[in-house]
Amino acid sequence: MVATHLTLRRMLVVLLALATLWLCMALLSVCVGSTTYRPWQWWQAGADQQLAKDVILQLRLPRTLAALAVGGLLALAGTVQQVLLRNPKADPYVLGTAGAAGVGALLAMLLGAGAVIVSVSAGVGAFASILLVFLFAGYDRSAAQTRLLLTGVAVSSFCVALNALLLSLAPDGLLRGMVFWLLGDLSGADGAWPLAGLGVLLALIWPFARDLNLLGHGVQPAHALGLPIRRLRTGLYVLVAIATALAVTTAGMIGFVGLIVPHALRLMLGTDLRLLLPASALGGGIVLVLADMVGRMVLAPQQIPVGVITALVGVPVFLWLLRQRGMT
Amino acid sequence: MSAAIQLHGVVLQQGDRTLCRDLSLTLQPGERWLVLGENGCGKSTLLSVLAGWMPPSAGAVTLGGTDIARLPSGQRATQLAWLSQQDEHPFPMTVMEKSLTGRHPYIPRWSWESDTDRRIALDMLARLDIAHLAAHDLATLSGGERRRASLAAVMAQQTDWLLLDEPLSQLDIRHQQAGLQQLQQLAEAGKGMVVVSHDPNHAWAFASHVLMLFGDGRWQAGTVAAQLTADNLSQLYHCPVEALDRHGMPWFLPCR
Repeated sequence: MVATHLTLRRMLVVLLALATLWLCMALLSVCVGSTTYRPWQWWQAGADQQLAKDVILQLRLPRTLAALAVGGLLALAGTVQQVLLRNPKADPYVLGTAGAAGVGALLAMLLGAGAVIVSVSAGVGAFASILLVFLFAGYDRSAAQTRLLLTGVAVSSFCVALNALLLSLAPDGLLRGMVFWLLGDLSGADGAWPLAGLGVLLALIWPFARDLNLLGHGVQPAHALGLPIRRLRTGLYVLVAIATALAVTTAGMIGFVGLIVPHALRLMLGTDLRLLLPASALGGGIVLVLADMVGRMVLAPQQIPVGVITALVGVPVFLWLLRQRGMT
Repeated sequence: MSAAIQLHGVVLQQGDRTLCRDLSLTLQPGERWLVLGENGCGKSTLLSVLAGWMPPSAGAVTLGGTDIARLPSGQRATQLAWLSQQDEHPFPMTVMEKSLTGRHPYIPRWSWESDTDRRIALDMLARLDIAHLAAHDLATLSGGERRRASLAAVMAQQTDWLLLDEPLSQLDIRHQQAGLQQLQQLAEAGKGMVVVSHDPNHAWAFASHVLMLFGDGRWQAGTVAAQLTADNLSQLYHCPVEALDRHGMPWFLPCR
């Protein structure tokens, strides 16, 4: 029989499978690289053992955790934004959240600030853009939410221009770092805290998954079913801003994960957000770890920024998925 | 148990046009009101005001004596269901999922839909003759089938009051009759209804009262027997309407 709706059992089975895949990818990412280790080598005594431990603990583990966290955060933020705007094309990049974070970060870099200030500045940028989009779009009662989406697009374009301006002003010494940051780069990123942040955000949003299900299918029916729409929306926007800021400060601008992962998962798993939210948090991590491994290895020892990989691979995959859907 | 809806001097405006002035009315539990009027006369606006979605330009609406805007939204949803004309589905959703949405106000935050919820949702689909489409995506259905799915969701909400905005539009003759029969059954079950329709003859299936909105501020309300006359309808629609005899009941048709 064809599934008519999501059952608790099906949700748990799917999540268990995704979590297993997530762990396997994490393990693979830690083992694979310029030198490939097998998991059991970590416990073997020998001269290599200390080196292996250092490489894994100091270099690969933080980076892997960062990929898992950033991918999950972006996919989670994208999923929620798509529902809030009732538009499957929305994500932190389309809406200018990430662009504004980029402006904040580049500005801090240009002024010669340290890593912490750059991160804080990016976070401020993300919040400012959400606030700006909200203020300009007002409380949009319309069905299509066009004003909100278009405001986001306008803010996004403006941020692209600002970023270009900042790049053109930058001295040569800073340029490479800034460009890498704009492209999205995981080298040197530490993901332990962002990963914890992802867990907290998911725990905060998931209880409202059923409300979000309704919100995605029109505000009037959602109102009739008793949702406090204004409060719900405001709270979710704040959480999305936090998720985006956290992702951007960890690894710079990585596009397409927030758009493609929720979309692909929706095609495969259905639209019930009780499953889709945790699945996005896991799926985003899986995809980004995979992209990062590719970026590390294809032209090794040269590293390709992970944002380039997600764009190059993500878009064709997205198109292919759309085509599959169209044929069934 | 069941509460009355009261309108106190409600004014409906659209831009600078006053559609309805000083509408004061008590809708008693179990009464079925048919709202008639030309396009753009404020019928849908009235329903959205009754649903607490939009505040009236002036006046107030109360449900059981409490201002509808102050009523906790979860409590409102178990007393009053609203089928709006909004029909947008940006994300895939199966017919069954749609029907299950009507159970939302009854499911605690940390619970899943129960077997009872599923049974009710499926039962409503069967009543509207779309149970065989339960696993289909709404986007793949015709407008009339989607309308029936939405109606099923509203019925699954099991409220004492149903606000229905053109529930039977887009339905073919057979399903329109089936829909009317459902409204009749809801009426017999003691539900209160406010139904917007373009066909005055729908009144015979379920309505006890009629509210006519003239779109220029005037309104007229009363029982079906007293208000539903060819004269009133001719004035309402600015078009001569005559009553033909159909099994002893007047049947309204435009004069030709």
